Amino acid sequence: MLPVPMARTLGAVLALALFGPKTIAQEQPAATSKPAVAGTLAPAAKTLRYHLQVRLQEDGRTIDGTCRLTWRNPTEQATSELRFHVYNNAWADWNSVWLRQARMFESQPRRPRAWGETTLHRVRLIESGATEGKTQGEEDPEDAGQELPWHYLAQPPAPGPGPGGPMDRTVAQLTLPQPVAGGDRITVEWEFTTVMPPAFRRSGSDGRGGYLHAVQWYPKLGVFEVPEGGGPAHWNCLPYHYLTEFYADFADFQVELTLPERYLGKVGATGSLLSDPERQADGGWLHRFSATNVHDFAWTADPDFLVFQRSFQARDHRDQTEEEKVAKALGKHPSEVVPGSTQMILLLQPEHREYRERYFHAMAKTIYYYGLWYGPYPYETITLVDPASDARATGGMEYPRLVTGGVYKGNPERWLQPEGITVHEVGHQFWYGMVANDEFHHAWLDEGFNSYSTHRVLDKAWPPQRQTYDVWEHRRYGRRPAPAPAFAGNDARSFLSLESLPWPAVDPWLPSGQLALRHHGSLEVFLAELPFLTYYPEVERHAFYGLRSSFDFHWNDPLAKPSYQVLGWEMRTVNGYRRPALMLESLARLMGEEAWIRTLRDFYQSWRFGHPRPADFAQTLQIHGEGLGLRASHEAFLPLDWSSLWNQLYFENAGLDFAVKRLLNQPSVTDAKKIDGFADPETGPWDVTVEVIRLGDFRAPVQVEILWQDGQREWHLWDGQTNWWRFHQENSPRRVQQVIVDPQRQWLLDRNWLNNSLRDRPERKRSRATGLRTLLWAQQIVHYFGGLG
Amino acid sequence: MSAGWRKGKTARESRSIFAHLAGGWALVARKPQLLLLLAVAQFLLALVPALLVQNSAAEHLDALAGFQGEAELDFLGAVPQWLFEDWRRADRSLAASVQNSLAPMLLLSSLFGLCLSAGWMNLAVRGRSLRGIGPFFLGAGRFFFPFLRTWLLALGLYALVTWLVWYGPGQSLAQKWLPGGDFDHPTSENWVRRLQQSREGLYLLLIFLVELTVDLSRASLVVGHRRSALLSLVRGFGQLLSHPIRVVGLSLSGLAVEAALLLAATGWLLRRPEDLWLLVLLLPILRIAARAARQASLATLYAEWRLSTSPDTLENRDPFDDGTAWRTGADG
Repeated sequence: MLPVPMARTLGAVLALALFGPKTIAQEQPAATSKPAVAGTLAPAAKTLRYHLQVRLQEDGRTIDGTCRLTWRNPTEQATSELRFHVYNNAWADWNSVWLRQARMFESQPRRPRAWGETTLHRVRLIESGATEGKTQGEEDPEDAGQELPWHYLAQPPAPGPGPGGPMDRTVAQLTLPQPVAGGDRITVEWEFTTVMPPAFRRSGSDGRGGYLHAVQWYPKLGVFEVPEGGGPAHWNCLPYHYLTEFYADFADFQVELTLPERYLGKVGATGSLLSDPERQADGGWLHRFSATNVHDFAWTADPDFLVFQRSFQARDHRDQTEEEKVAKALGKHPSEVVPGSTQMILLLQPEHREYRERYFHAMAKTIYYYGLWYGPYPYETITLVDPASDARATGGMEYPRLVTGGVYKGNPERWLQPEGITVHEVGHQFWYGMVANDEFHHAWLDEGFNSYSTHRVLDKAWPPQRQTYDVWEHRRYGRRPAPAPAFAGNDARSFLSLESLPWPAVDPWLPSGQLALRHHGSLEVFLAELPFLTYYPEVERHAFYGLRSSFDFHWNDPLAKPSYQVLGWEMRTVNGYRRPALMLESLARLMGEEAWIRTLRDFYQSWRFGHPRPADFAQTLQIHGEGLGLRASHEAFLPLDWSSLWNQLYFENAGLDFAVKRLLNQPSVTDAKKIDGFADPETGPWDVTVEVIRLGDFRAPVQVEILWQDGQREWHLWDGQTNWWRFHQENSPRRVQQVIVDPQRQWLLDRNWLNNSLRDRPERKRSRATGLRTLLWAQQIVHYFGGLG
Repeated sequence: MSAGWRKGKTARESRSIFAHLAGGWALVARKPQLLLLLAVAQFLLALVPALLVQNSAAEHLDALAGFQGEAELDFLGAVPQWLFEDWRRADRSLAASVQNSLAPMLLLSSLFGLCLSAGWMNLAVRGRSLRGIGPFFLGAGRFFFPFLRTWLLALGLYALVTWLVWYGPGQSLAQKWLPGGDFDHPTSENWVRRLQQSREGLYLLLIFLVELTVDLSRASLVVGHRRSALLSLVRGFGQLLSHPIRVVGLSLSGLAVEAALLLAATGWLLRRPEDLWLLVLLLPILRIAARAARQASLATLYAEWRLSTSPDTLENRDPFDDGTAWRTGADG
């Protein structure tokens, strides 16, 4: 139960309805980089309003009721149809686009435990026409409610992750008797029944009538908008694709939810509870929720939830240095940038009681830092859900004002779980929740921005994550020096490590098979490898550097490729999350902190409660990057061409890899007439040569640092347009001790940092130490096996 | 404390397990050259993967310069993860090379362990007074093939235990006890953890008992100078059932000594990471000694039981027995 004083909430709702979202925000910065989109009307009355009246049945997964929505055409173009997402039909049968693509992308495709489905019974027209002269939401009570024809959108089947086949039922098209002209309004009402599946992908129940995470559970209107390249407005309403998430317009929601008694007081939702739940005649409890300026409504319930509430107050989490930095960048006083308060709600599983404080701490740090950098969190509440053990598939997701986390027991502090996932999902309130990009085409605009922001928060608020290994269901700090032998059971080499005994087929008497000899459990690994003795004890994962794991994959698609069309799940992860996060952090380091703070804040404030596109960010980058560049010693300066950089980062797919090819300190010629007329190699002078090359095709300017033997550092600049760069100096009285290309690690997109530097004299103790530790580790394993059998 | 056997005493005293263990250590301590030789052999088995890693590190890491503001790269303490990941990408074949080079060493080590076990047991039972390392290798050669047969039987027992705990009945029972019955969608995380922890613990315990049985069977082969691996396994199991406390106690005591050595080594390494090279040299010797002492003491324990039941049958059976070890009782 979420008791909220009725008067305060109703007042807020009324204020929002009359005046729009700006009354919530504490500031109204000038939108410096948001041009009008051609073909779109100037914002006037709200575009969309939902009123849902539903009941959850006793089985804990069937929801039926009505969904009434009022939509105002925000474009200049009329439309004779409405298109709706019916995402939950992705689990209705194997014909859905989602499941067909899962079978294509996954080598061992997952199967739903049971089907889920949304049945649209019928849809009625309530009201339509011009908005002028009418109060928003007003309807003609005498309208009989003409039933409208509708059908699931049949699209030609296509190979690959394209539009859905004829039997996919995740998009429904409603045909209107009269077109809805630009600026006009229409109200329709659906009657529907949704059966949530046992938790499968992002949504569902525990299958036992307990935990339920209801998301994408109602018919949701698509977005009617002018396409990216211009032209007439169209419906952006794709089927539910395996590789992408969701997209919708901002709306006001009124939701009346009747739940069985066992869920009383154990409900969380996108909106705020308007009043205490009311008991119904049939024993159910009616909950009334309201949410304004959100583009989705999700809710969750579990009789087992432990419910905790805490007020977020910025004063409890102050980072004075960061506040002053942000204030200085924006030309404000620090008190003007401190975020305001909000109510944090945690719905926790009883078995994860010990994580309560860690969850709250992570939520608070997120609200604080995101609010400081981008703007205050504008809603009254934020709810974090800890999913049930048998519904973990619903974890790690974001919806407006409600997110799901997830954690396993036995996680030490420096493993940063649940911190990492909490910061990321709560952070989505800003990137996705308020800056609401089209996730079908540009998933990176929320996932990438949020991944970047997440890692910034982790870097600020926690010490670096440490690598761990698992022993007996607990995580301990450490990293093994080398990979232990581990082969598949049918691999002949598995017998060498006494793990299994495979045998080949002997036709026709004996099929191939294998006999498991040992179970390689964590306790046995512990006894064999003695990690407390042999492992590297402290291996730290810097927040951003860990994203370089994206280089494990070949980048098959540029960032510009629509998200639902990339090669597969790996590319979705790379292009959606890691690559843009690395890109944004690189841009931040290139621009400098102050300019970057202004850039991101401008972009966020301009597009809050809007739908930005990549070109909008590029424009913001250009505006704030003007005049910025790289500096070197001796006042040298190289301005950055943001347009060229953006083209390469976004539209092209070139790899970036600088390398120091050569560092040579050659004794100088002291007597040109003598064959051996050279200087002493130890005392000089020397002819020094440094060569840096570009291994990838990405052409970017970069600094090169030369460290002389006397300790002096020099920075040089290379524009990166040619394939190599050379520094040569003769008769130098000092040697070059080391060379580093990109000494400030500005280019996180550089695929290989091992070739970014070179010492004049290698440090052999590193390889010796590495070899010794590996030897110590291997000795223990060999010794263990000496006693085995 | 005398480590020898005293035949001829009227009272068949049974020595404590600690006395047996001390006797084992005393035997081992008198063969330092043997320990060194075995340690070198084990060193060589572990050397190949280590060399692969060191060579790769020399190529990719030694010339790496440190960035300003970042911790010095020393590889003895804190190491950044990005460096390992970039290294892995720069040398993609290293992981497979290490795995492929280490795997055969593990099988070799297991077979080599048979020789060591045979050698130490034979020394403990027959060759205490003999000088040099020759008797060790004589015993190792003499009993290698019978021990190999017990090794094969042991693999079968491993497979049986693995199947019992992790497949077949173990899996069925676990699913029955698990609320919800589905490991992929458990209703309680605590239950899954406890079940998995219990299974791992039970599995290790059973493997330990299998190892004890096999060690006893080997002791019976050496003491009784027998050939049949299957019968020796039955005898070994019988002795385990007859004297569970002494057998398990002896083994655990020996393991406790080894564990203490390892903890001491860990503490030393934490305080002085620069002494890593010293541990690499010393630790194998100490661990080989600890295992040898355990196996030798198990053999003498078995011999004690054998002597107490039918002492006269032993004397004329062993062609290698010169009669001195059994009769003198001196540690010599």
